[in-house]
Amino acid sequence: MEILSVRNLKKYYGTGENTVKALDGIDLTIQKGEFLAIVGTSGSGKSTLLHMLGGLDIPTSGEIMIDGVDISKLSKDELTIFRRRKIGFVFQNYNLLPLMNVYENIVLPIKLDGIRPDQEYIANILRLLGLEKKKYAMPGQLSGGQQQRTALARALAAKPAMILADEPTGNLDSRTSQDVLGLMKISSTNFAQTVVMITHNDEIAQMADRIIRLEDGKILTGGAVYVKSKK
Amino acid sequence: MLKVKNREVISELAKLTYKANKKRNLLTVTAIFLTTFLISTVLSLGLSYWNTISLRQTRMTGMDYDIELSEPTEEQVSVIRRMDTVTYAGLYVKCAVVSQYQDRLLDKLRLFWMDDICWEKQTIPALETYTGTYPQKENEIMLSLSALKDMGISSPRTGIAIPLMYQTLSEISDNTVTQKNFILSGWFTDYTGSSKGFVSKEFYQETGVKQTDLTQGMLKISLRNSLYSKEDIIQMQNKIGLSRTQFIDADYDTISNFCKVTAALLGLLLLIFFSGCLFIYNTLYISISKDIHYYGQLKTLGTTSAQIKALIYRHVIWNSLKGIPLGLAFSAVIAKLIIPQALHVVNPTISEKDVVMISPGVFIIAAVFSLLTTFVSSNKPANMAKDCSPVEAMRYAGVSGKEKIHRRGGNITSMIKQNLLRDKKQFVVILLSLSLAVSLFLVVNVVIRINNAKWILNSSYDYDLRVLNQTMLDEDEYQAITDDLIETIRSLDRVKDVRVVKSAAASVPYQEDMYGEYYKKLYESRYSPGNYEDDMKSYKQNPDDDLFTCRLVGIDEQQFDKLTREFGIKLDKDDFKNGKIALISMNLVDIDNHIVHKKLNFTPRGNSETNKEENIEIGAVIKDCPAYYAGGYNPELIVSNSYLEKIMDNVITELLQIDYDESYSIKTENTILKLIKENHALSYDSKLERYSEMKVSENQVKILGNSIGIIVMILAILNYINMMAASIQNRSKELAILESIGMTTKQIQKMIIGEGAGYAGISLILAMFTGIPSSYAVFYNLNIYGIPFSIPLFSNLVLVIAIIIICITAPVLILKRLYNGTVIERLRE
Repeated sequence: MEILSVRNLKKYYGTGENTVKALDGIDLTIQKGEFLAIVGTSGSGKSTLLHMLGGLDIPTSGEIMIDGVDISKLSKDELTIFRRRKIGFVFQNYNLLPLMNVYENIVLPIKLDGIRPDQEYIANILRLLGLEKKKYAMPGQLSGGQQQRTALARALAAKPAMILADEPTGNLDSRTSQDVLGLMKISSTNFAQTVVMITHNDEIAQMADRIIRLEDGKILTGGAVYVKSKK
Repeated sequence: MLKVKNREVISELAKLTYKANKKRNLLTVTAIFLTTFLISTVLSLGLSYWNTISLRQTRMTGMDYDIELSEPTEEQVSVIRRMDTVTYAGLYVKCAVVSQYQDRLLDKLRLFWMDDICWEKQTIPALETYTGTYPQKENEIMLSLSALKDMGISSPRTGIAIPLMYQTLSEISDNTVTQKNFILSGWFTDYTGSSKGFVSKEFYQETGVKQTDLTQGMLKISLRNSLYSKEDIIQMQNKIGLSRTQFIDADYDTISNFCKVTAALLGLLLLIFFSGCLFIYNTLYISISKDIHYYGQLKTLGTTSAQIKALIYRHVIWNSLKGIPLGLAFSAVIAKLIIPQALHVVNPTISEKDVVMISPGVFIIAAVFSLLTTFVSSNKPANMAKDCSPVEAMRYAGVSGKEKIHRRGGNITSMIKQNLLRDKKQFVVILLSLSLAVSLFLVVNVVIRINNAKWILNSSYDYDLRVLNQTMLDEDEYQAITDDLIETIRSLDRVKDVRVVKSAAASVPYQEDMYGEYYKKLYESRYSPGNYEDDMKSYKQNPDDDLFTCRLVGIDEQQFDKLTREFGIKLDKDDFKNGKIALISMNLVDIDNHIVHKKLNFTPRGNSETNKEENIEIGAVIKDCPAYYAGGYNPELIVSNSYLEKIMDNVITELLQIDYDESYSIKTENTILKLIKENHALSYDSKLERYSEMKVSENQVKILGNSIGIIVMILAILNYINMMAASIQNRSKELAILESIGMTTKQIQKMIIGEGAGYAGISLILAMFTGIPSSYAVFYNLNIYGIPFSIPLFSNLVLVIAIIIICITAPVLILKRLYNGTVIERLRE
């Protein structure tokens, strides 16, 4: 079942001779529960594509449908609510709120939706990500890896339909990287969550169901629709 | 070590950084501009305000002098005029009392002569306006507008005839009434509210009054230094040698009053300076903190701490060069163009250039203070940037976050709390700044209130209108204030209270145990009527002696309540009403309280045959008599109207004291005046008319005072908006993170509004705790008219509501203004 489809997506910066084509006619379809890795060189448009998919940036043209909703037609607040409920973001630079402890950072999107957090589920995530002892630590007290895991926990906490992760293992050691990816895969399977992940690491990309390679704002390979095996 | 020439690089870097931070520089320039504007405008307007109220105070005194010498001799005058400490000494002599103009009886219209010094140097500066010239010819007269009003002359012209009946005040006068046709040489307005006239030297000499006659002559002395001590006056006394009855009237509290006023004004100035200081500090602190990351990057590239500090100071200088001249220019526009224009509209006689002082000193103070404050305030954050290690600077998030916090928040309320307290220092600075500005407004408001003419008049007038029976000046007194008139006035809609005062003359036989001590004191005082032994001998033989006539005053219940309340005495109202107890009043000398509970014998005078000797217990001694006309040297005896009517027939109503539902109500006053206008036997004294006389300067005082108040209020609000703008701009990335994880604009607005409400609420509470005691302290030190302390509710309520509304709406507007672009653009900022 298709959860995301992108038609002729373009994002241009500047005008005339100075135009930079960050994304230049992207067509992409992603199925529900699919684990997708986007790879490409620096400046190829990976992060821009991820931001477009999450409604954090506005495309120059093209259409993005998520779960049957054309997000370009949503108002600013509707898009924010949609993002809160449907999408979990893991930013490359974590983007944790410095005034909140780990627990508060994680449950914030749920509480913003007026829902009481599922404490058992949160505890489980904290345990799986090795953050149990850091539950009340402030972001300033965490290492880069711990902050990365907190950002991931925040993305998983609301059980969104889709997780968009920008280099989620960029600051982690190889063992933790494996654990994090394992968790993302389990989450993807258990809750039928779609995961779209940017990575530079080919080894990590290999763990994905499908790999898309971007170059100069265009999909080089992997743009085809992948239908997951029932096994 | 070799010195490296890198000044140019730093300068270039400073320029680049400065250009890149336009929004933040605008906030800093605004803070410097507002502080400079606040100080120069408030000081300029404050000085003009002070000059205006000082001038009004002089006008209320009617003459500009420091001390006065009674009954001066020629020799004393010349000795005093030669003294180094004296600027001017003008001679002022009361020489006659006018009793009638045409068919109108006049009350207390006194005629004075003054020498040129007194007129030119001491009287003219205290007059609001004067037309014509001081009388030169024997038959010329200059009258106050109040006197002209009493005569029924509403459009005076110089040269018109003024036929008057008068008595001279010469000690050898036989009290004969003389008729004379005066020629009006001019008229004047002051704020004394008294009817008086000025006459020529020739006329004064003809009256036979001498400047040395008891209570008639006065030497008004203006000192070089208005701050004099008791020792200075004693020294002066020793040099001129005073006779037994002479005295120098001086206020020995001048120095302590000056110290009090200075302390209050210094306190006010400190508040203004501190408020400006906090304002600049906070904006700079936010601005430089925001750049810590950038300074960290520069450090990693090898920029030294000293170079970073130099870079910051360059920005400070550039911002000051924009903010300070702009603040001074705006202040000049307000103080020299806008407010003078407004004052000129109110009073066209005021020359625009005279009303608001712009002294270069004020501008220099404001500029130097703003520059110093800017540098001192930037020192702390500059040192922070200088001392921070490159890595720390790169990771700086504006919050320490060094301790675990066992909290399970994560909702908007807890976020509001966290944001308010995220940087405790900044939280304190914003609160202090806002509450200080509100406190400043409270204090300024109280100062304005103390100097409000209505409040000043309220403290000296205990009625709105007093209607007086003028026939009581005459032998043929009659009931000019009829019961019908009283009832008609009482029945008027907007009349709150009508107090009826009746009076009659009474004889009090000599009673040693009652007034024995009092007579001795009286004859020892400067008010001594003559020779004690001779007068007492005559009085004992003749209790009806006119010198010792007693004024028997009847009052109603309302007046009784008012007097007992005013003097804090507890008496049984029924006993008073039934004539079992009475009050006595005397102003000339103090009467011992030993006479309380003793019984006084008296006999009402009049044409009734039923008059017989009465005796009544004295309940209390007071120093204020509601009656207008005085009797002889015996204290006034105050009894109830019902008792007075019981012991006398045809008691005359002397006066009515009328209170309105709304003081200064023109409508109510006109309705009452219509009722008494045609009756020439009645005169009136109106608080409203006195206020109208003061209106011109009152408008000036109000415009200047309110301008200061409004400027302080606007600045308090702008200050807050600027700080909130800096705070929101500083957190733009954090707000973008919140939006990226699902916080809607409405939720962000709710959070920001919560923060604004938090600042407003806490700072208003703080302002109540600091502002009310400070305003009381300033009030206590500046209150020369004895006005009761109260807080100007309306203007303060306007400020409170304005602050709450602005604290709530401004952050939302700022958010909308600063919050442009996509989430990702803001995340990348």
